[in-house]
Amino acid sequence: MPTITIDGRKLEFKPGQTIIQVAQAAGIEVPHYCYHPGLSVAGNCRICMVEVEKNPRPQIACYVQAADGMVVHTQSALAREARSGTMEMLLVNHPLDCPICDQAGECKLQDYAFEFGHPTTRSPVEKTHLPKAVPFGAKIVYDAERCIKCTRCVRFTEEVTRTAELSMGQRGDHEVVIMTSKGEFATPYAMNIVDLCPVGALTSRDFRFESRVWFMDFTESVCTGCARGCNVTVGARGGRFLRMTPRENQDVNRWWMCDAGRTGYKFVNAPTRLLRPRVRAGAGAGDFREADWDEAVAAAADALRASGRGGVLADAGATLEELVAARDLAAASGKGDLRYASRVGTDGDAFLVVNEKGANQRGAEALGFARATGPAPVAVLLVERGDAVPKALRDGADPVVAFVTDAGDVPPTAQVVFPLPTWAEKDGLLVNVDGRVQPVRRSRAVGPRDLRAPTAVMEEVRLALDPTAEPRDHAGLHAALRAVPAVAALGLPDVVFAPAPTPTVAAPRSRTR
Amino acid sequence: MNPLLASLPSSPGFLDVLKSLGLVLLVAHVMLGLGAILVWAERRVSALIQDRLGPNRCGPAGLLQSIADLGKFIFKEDVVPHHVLKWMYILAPTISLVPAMVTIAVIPFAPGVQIADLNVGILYVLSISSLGVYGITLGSWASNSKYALLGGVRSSAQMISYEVVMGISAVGVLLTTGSLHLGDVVAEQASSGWFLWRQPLAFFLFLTASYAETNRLPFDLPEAESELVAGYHTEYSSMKFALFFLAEYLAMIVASSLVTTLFLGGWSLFGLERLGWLAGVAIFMAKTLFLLFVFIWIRWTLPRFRYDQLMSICWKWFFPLALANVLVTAGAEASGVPALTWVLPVALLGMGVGAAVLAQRRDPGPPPELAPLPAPSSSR
Amino acid sequence: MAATVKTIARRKTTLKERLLFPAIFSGMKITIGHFFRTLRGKRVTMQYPEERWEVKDNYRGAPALVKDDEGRPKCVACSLCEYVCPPKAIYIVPGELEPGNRVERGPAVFNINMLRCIFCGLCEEACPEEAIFMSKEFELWGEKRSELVHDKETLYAIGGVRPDPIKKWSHK
Repeated sequence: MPTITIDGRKLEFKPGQTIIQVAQAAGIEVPHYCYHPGLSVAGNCRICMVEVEKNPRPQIACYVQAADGMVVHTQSALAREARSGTMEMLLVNHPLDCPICDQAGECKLQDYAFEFGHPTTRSPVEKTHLPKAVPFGAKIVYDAERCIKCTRCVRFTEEVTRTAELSMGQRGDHEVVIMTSKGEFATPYAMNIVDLCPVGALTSRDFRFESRVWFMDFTESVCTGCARGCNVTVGARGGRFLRMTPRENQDVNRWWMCDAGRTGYKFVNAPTRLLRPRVRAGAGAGDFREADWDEAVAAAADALRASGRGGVLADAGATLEELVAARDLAAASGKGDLRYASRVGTDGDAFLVVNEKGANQRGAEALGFARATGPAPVAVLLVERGDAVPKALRDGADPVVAFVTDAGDVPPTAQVVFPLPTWAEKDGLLVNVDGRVQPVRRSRAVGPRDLRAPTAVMEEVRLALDPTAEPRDHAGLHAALRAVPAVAALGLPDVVFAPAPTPTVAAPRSRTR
Repeated sequence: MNPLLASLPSSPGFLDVLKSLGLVLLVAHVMLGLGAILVWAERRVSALIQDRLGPNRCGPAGLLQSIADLGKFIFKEDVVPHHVLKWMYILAPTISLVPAMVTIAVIPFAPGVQIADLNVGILYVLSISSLGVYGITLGSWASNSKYALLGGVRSSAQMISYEVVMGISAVGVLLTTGSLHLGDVVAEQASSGWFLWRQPLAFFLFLTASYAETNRLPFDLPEAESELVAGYHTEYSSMKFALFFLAEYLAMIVASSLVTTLFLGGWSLFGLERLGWLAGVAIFMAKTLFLLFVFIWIRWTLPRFRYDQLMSICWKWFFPLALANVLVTAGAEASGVPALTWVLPVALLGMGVGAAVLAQRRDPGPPPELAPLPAPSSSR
Repeated sequence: MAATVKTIARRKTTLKERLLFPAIFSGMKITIGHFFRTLRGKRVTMQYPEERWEVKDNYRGAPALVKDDEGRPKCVACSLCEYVCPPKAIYIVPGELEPGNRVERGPAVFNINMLRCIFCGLCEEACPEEAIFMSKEFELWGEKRSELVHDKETLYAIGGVRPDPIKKWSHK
């Protein structure tokens, strides 16, 4: 294999790789704006310049292909000065918008200005004035002054979505990104350009001015908007889910995710979330009173024992752990069918979006759950998203114990209702449309406090029904999952989740309001 | 008639009883009021000495500050810690207050203005005022707290020691007067000069001992804040603390009026007392108030003694001096040369100056230059 | 390196000092001197509600938001003060302003909890817009805890106007 020397390290490469690719594979960071592994090489930002020996001028690492015996210095005086000059040029017209810019804190221009920039400007002329806060469709806002014209967004619409809504217009320091289509983006992947933008020129209408990024808590998780299971990073602050951004996974979603998934978190922040367990106050429909968790667990066990009913109807977004715990809880109560419910969309495409919206539909099927076709009485009902389990199905299920996320989805004839944490508030495994098992993780900063994990509640109820049963934690539930051949065949990963938080007495909110 | 009653020299008439009762009530109230004013005065004087103003918001010049303080004391939570010996804890403040109140009974404010004209007045004063230590000791013991107990132990040792000095230094006065009757002591001074001039050493010893007796600076070891939190009343709050506090100020008043009676001529002042009993009372009060001012003045000037210094001053200096003073006074009385009582203080003064001069000559000066410390070894 | 010891030369005590009593009397002279001097009116105490202290320019009173000399609020809700605030006394909800404004962003909610504020002045130091200043306001009181959480209106009322020679957003 040919070798290249970067910063004194001898590295092997495949012919055709560029210097930046070889360097990144070896963990050597080369600054870049316009280069993106998922897009074509434009080579227009000039920040990735490195010194290549026997070459009189610095070269751009994103475009120059590695050659056998090439010697590259990424941190030499020449390379640094070249970057410094590039930064000075970029900052000539870049506004001092950082205090009001959403990108501040995760802005490459800030990072490189900090590393290579000049403290003052040498330009005697006033900065150019370009349109600000230009709407690019309903979801995106464009600020031409902040734009460094790297064309990542243009290339994305041309190469990835092939819809070409964006183009460059004008010339020189009047150059701006323009929309070629009038009004709306045709692609359902438009908001990826917000993530692509290395500066704050493209901001999301949804997240605009919501929070500075340094206040936020980030959790690596999986989108549950459909069965694709795009890998995402959940950003949250102070109990509120604020945004979701795609996380690179070449086997699932590469670098992208769809707009529907990205904005599909709203139900997490809903003010109508169910926060406390409810138990029957009378025989009438919807006649509940709030109870504490231990009381509700005892009531659930009594109700299940009295009904002797079995069967589960689960939202196909429920995790494998919840499904297996629900299966065993229902089995401890009586006999019944295992069924799941999920929404089937019509917006599936050949790229990421699939029609099956149940994030764990494949997992439910592997566990022996069948799609619910009509209402039938069950012992345990799980509803995370009201639109996944239609009202006729969940009310018709006449459940003994219901786990619901939103107070509006409570089936009026249930005996005991527990609040169900959303996918951003719990740990668990999901099986995506390709049979890939991926973990969702609990975000520390999302959701109401002191919701108990549904698996723990179900295990408590099961123990109350059957005192001889062994209590199971996540590991125990995983063992139960592996005992199912169809699930074991999926290849359950050895995921270690962060230990569950110890229940606290409603701690005072750290923020003042 | 009861033979026992009949055997009394003269049974008091109804009017006498009424007069005594009225006087008791009057004196008790004046005492308490004076105590309250004294608290205010202490704070104002200390403030003025420290270039401050002190409490000046309640009433004219802040005179009603003590009323406000009293209101605060009454409405404060009356904490009785669970670890105390309850009945003794509650009783102790009263025990310390009552002797201070009762001692004043034999003080002659003016000729004939006296609650009880005891013929053993001075003995009564010494014996009753020494009961005050019981309140402090019991309170500290009942508190079941280390700091309080240390304060109580210090207090009892200190008060017992200085009582000896107090009693013996008063003997000089009594020898000269030839009577234990406090009225006679004042009358003697009115006719032939204050004991301040005739018994200077006794005056000094008595005054100093009375500071120690009342736990005032520079002898406030029993409640030394920097060492004992608050000494014997550490565990007290609310009105119980207020009673201790009041007892301390009443003891000051009693001590001042006693010094006035014994050494400053009581109600006499250049014959002005002949204007009537009211003038006598006024003169007496003026002298007492001045002494109280000196109490406060001393407190805000001198720092506290160390406990061993306190005890050695008492037993190695004051006690022998008081004894010597008794001997010299007896000699002066026997020889008929009253000026002999000045021999001792003058001799002491001379000895003091001489010792100081000698000590200064022998002062070795600053210690020699210290050698630099060896360098710390840097071996690891 | 050898530890260096500095020996302080002590003054010899004088005869007067050795005699103790002169020292006591001179002490009493000093204290009574102060007593009468203060009585004549030379004092350090300030009679606060009637007499008032001249607040110095570098005094750190209650933090407040200011407007520029054209009456425009300067804060853009960048939340740096909220970030830097050691006791977490500041709470900001950023909001988007009408397009007619020079700047697109401003605080929708800006609360400073004066019960938490430690008057360190880091908010003023962190502010990139020179919008928050430590005012001279020191008389902070309230009958309820909520009265001591200063909202945006209170903060602008305390801060008032501070001339801004640059007006960055008008020609940025």
